[in-house]
Amino acid sequence: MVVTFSVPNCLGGMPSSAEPFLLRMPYQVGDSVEYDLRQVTWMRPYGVALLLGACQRCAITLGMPVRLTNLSEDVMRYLRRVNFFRLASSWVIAANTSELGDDWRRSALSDSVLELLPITTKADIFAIIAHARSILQAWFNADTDDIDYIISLITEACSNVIDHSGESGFITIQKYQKATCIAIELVIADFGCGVATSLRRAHGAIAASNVGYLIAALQGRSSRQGMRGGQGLGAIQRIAIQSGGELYLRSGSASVLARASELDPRDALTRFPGTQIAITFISALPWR
Amino acid sequence: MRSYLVHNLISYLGTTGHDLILREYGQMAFPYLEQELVATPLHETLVLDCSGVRVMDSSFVEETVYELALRLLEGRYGERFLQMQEPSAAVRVNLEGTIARLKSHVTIVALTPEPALIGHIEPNLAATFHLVVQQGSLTARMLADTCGLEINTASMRLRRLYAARLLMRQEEVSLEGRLHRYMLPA
Repeated sequence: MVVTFSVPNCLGGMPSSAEPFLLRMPYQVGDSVEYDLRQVTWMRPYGVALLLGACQRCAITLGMPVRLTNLSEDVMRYLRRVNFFRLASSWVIAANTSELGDDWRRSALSDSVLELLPITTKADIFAIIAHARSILQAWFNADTDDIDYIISLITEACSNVIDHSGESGFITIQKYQKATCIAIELVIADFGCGVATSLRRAHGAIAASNVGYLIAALQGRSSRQGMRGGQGLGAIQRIAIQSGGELYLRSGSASVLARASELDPRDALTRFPGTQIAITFISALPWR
Repeated sequence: MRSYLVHNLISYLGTTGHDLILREYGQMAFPYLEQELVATPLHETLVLDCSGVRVMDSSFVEETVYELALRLLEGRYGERFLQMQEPSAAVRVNLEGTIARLKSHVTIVALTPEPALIGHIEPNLAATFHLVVQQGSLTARMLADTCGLEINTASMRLRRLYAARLLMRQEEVSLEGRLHRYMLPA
């Protein structure tokens, strides 16, 4: 049976606003699944991560790729621009990937996007930061401390994928030009065991709720045995917030939004595998 | 004083670029740094010259600079001192963050551009440290007279900075007897 999900237009806003997409998941073995994206007018990196994860989980469960239909030209361009179809080639068929004109080219120094890059090994992290540095230097048109802070965010988040998820992951980065600053959005995602499972395996039941595990991780609790570890999420939170930005952490059925003024934990969300992190870093440098 | 160019670790570790990252690489790098500290003569300072290093992430820094400073504080390396030179802003932030998250009393002197402290230290000790730097050297009597402190209080502050490996001291014999003069390790 073909099961068609009409994807709501919620993949282009704040991470927490993408939850409605995750509600529409029921299917069973034997079905073939289509995601109808006709309502989707805009996407952001976090929405791309969820779409990728949903397609992956669906395809693995059903043993066949998910079909994406009715993509607008803008959405199609964006997904191609971030390398979505290459990364998701095992899990996704898009109805109209061949319809983009040959005059469209994706530049390696794209003016606002660092495309989806896989995180599979520690060697990947070095390649990612080398690539990110060249992109960031082009974006900022300067060699600034902010680039180093962003590189720190990348290494911390990517190493968490390899050390704790049990799976591979990916990263994408996008620049947003504001009136007086540049906002850099980084999304790092994996579809592995998730924070709560990782911590439970190492320490047993240390929290009363799934969101409690996320908060414990932010406070430095690590699945690494011994006294060391637990630096990554805290470092990410500190750097992002000190810049004026924020950290959104979603894992399993819980999320935490960390800003300078608040910590907004949410529990009892739709269960979704792995861990997805959206980091906003604000650079006071004006775009040149 | 002995200086070690931290950027050398990049080639020793077989990585590229200008960043020192990941816990495993920190664990591999630690013996190199420890070897440098042990090779530093007693009463002298190992300066970790960080010029050219853009990022040391929190995990790397925890396994290297932090661990080295912690062991030094525990007395494992005798009367030696450790400082950093030219740490980038990101290196400083990551080291400070690591020390804060570990709720540790480790504090490190950074020599760029003026001597500064990385880590948490009580305000009165920080003020004392900066006064010593400003004056070049101080005895407890000089500190007491300058700041209007009891001699015991002044002496205690200087001893604590010495115990934290932030200041060195030299013994002098004067008409007043034996005393210690405290200064920034060279």
